[in-house]
Amino acid sequence: MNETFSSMSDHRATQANAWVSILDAVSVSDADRRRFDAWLQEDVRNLGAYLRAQAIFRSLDYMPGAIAAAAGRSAPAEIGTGRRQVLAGAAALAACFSGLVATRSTSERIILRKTAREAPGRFFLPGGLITMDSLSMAYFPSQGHMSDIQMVSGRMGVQTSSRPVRIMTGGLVLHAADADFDLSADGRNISIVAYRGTVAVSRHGASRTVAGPCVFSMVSDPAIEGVGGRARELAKRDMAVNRAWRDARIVLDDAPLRDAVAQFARYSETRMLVASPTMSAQRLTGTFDLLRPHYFAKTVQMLLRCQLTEPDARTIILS
Amino acid sequence: MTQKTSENMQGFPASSEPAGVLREERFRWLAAEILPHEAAVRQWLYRHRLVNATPDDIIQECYARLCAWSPDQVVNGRALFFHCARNLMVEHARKARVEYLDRDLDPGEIDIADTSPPPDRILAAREELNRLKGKMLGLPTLCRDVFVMRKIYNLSHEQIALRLGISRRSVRREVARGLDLLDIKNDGQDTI
Repeated sequence: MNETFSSMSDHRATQANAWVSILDAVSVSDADRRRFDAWLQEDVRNLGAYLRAQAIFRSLDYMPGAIAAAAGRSAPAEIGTGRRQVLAGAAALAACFSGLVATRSTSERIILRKTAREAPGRFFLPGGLITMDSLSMAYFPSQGHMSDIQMVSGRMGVQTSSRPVRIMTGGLVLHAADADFDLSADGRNISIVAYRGTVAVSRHGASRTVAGPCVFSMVSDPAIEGVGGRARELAKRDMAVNRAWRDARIVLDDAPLRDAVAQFARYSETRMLVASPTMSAQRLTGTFDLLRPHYFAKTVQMLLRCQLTEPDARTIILS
Repeated sequence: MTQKTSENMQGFPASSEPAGVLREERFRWLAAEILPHEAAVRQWLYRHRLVNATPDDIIQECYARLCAWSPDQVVNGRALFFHCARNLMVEHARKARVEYLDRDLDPGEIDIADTSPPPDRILAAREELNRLKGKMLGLPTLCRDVFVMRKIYNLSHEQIALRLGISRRSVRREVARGLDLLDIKNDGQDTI
C-alpha cells in the first residue's frame, strides 16, 4: 500500500516538474493553461507538488528575481555552447537583432565556486587573479578566462592584467582591464573598492566609470534606470585596511571591538562573544590574523584587561 | 484519496495583490525559507509511523498549506513547516480513527525550534541551497547546458533553443528532466 502511495506522489512530482517546465516558457497556450488549472484542481497535493517544484527551480536562480528580470534585457553575448550550431537564415537574423549570436563554438563548463567560513581562496586565471572571500559564491567559466564571471554573493578581489575582465552581478555588467578592485554583492547592495585602474559599470545601456582609488556603492534597483550610486575617494592609508582581507588579515585603525568580532565571525567557526556593549565599543588598533581568533582574543584580553573564558572549543567569551 | 482545492482558479489563495507578484513572491519565499528545511522535516516524518499517507504526501500538502501564508507574517519558516507536517500527520491518522499519543509527537522531540542564532541559520539555509546549485552543474551535459543558460544567464527557452540548435520542446523536456534529477528527495543523504 505504501509503495502505491509512494509511486503516486513520485508521479505527482514528475507531473509538477513537467508543468514548471511548460510554464517557464514565455508563451503558454490557452489549452496548456486550462490543462494546468484542471490538474491543480484534481488534488490539493498537486498544488503542493507544483509549489515545491517551483521552489526548487527558483532556488537555482543565481540572482534575485526582480534583478534577474532586469538583467535579462542585457543577456551576455558570448556564452557559447556549440551543440549543433544551426544558425541559419531567419533564425540567425533574428539572433543578430537580439544580440544573441554565439561567438564561441566550444562547449563551456561553468564552475560554481563557493567558500564556507574559511580563508579567502585564490584562483589564477589567464590574465589575472581572483580572490574569493569567505562566505562568497560565483560562477566561473571553466576554460580559464576572465570573462562572463557571474558574481552571486559575498566579495571577490579582482586583479587583471591587460586582458579584459567581464563580471556580472545584480543586473550590472563590469568591464575592466589592468585594474585592481574588490567587488561586493549583498542582495541588491553592490560596492566596488577600486585600488588601481578603471572599472566600467553598465546597466540597461547606461554606464559610468569608477576610477581608482575610490569606493563606489549603489543599490541595484530594477525600478531605477541607469547606473546611480555614490563614489568617494579612497585615502591611501585606507587602501591597506580595505585590501587586508585578501591575505586573511584585519587591519584595525582605532576601530570598535564589535566590528573586529564581526569580521572574525566570518572566517571561523569559533564564536567570539563580548559580554557588554561598553566593551564592544572599546577601540583597538593593530593587525591580526583573521584565521586565529584565539590569538586575537588573548591580545584583546591583555589590551583591555578583561576576562577571557572558553566554555568549549568553539566559544570565546570576553567579559 | 482525492482532495479538492478550495482556492481560486490557479490554486493560489485569494489576495488583493496582482497574481504575478503574489506568485513570484511566494515562490521566492518557499525557496528561501521553506525548502532548506524540507530535509529535516522529511527525516522527522520517516521516524514516525504514518497512517494513510507517505512522507511525500505530507510534504506536498505542507507546501499547499504554507502557500496560504503571507510571507511577511511568518517569522520562522522552519517551525511553521514542522507544525504543518505534524498537524497533517494527526489529521490523516484521525481520518483512519487512529490517535497518536501526545508524547509520540512531542514538540520537544521535533526540534522545531532551531537553537542556532539567526546568522548561523541563514548561513545553513544558504548552504543547503548552494548544494542544490552545485548539483545543477553536475547534470548530464545537455540538461546542464539548458539549466546554466536558463538559471545563470537568464536566457529564455527560445534563446536557449537557438543557441543549442534544439527545439523549444526539447528545452522544456530538459528542464523537466533536470528537475526530476535534482529532486532533493533523490539525494542519498536525504538532504538538499
